[in-house]
Amino acid sequence: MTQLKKIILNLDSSQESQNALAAAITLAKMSEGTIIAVNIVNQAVVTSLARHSDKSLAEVEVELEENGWRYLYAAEEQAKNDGAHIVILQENGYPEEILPRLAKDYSADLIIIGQNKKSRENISQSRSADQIIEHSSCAVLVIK
Amino acid sequence: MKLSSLLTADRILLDIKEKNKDALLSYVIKKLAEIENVADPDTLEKEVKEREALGNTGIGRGIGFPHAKSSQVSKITVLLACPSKPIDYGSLDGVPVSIILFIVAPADGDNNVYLHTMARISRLLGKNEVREEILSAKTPEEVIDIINANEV
Repeated sequence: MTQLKKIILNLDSSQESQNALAAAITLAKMSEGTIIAVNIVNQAVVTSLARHSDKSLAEVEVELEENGWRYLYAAEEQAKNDGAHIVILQENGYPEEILPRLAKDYSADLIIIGQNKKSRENISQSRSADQIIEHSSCAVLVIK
Repeated sequence: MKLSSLLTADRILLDIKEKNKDALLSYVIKKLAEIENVADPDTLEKEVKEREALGNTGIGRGIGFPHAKSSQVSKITVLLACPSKPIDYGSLDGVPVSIILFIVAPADGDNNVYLHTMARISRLLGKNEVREEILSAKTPEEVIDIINANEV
């Protein structure tokens, strides 16, 4: 790993994700790189939450999308206040598919993910993290 | 806070002739200063462009979402602008921008309201059908009707 010009950060509501953001900001500033912060509206989470609540799939999806954008804008504000370069985007799908694809599309140097076994909104299954590592063309940093 | 409660017809600018991002941002801020109480529009423009330099606010799918918190305004203020032709905004997905939503909030305002408002707008404009309807609108009033009809 020579340079970290493009760092993909998976962002959600968890504390581990906030830890990952802090790491991404530090690394981006050190390498004068850009954080590409992505919030993934995980379809498995949408289905699970809808099943365990009285909300419809569409209602849950709207809620997760809005929350996701809120996390993204909060992260953007924090990064910019710290003097780090950042762009934000939201995707719908599965982290293990989307993160490797984004890394390839944007020629990223590093993917940073927070891992929390308890949060359903996070990349909670080790299988998912393993798949991200396996399918990514760049380095993957897991923050706890 | 709903977008429909922030947007009035005079805050919707259609068929704008500016051809690049820098000129478009300047135009939008100038227009905002004509209808809102902006203490110093030049300072606001400088602040917005400095923030833009730290990260492009093109959020993909042809949407530019420049935003800032500034002491130059006293309340959350929004302006929607559509250039006559899509402009290169430097967005990550490379799609030229055809809708600009500019939002500025007081520097000492409620950050949760600011974040929540931006989140609502981003989700709304992220929908293909909403963007397509807005781009086909002929008048600001039509745009307001479209937002009213689609905002949850």
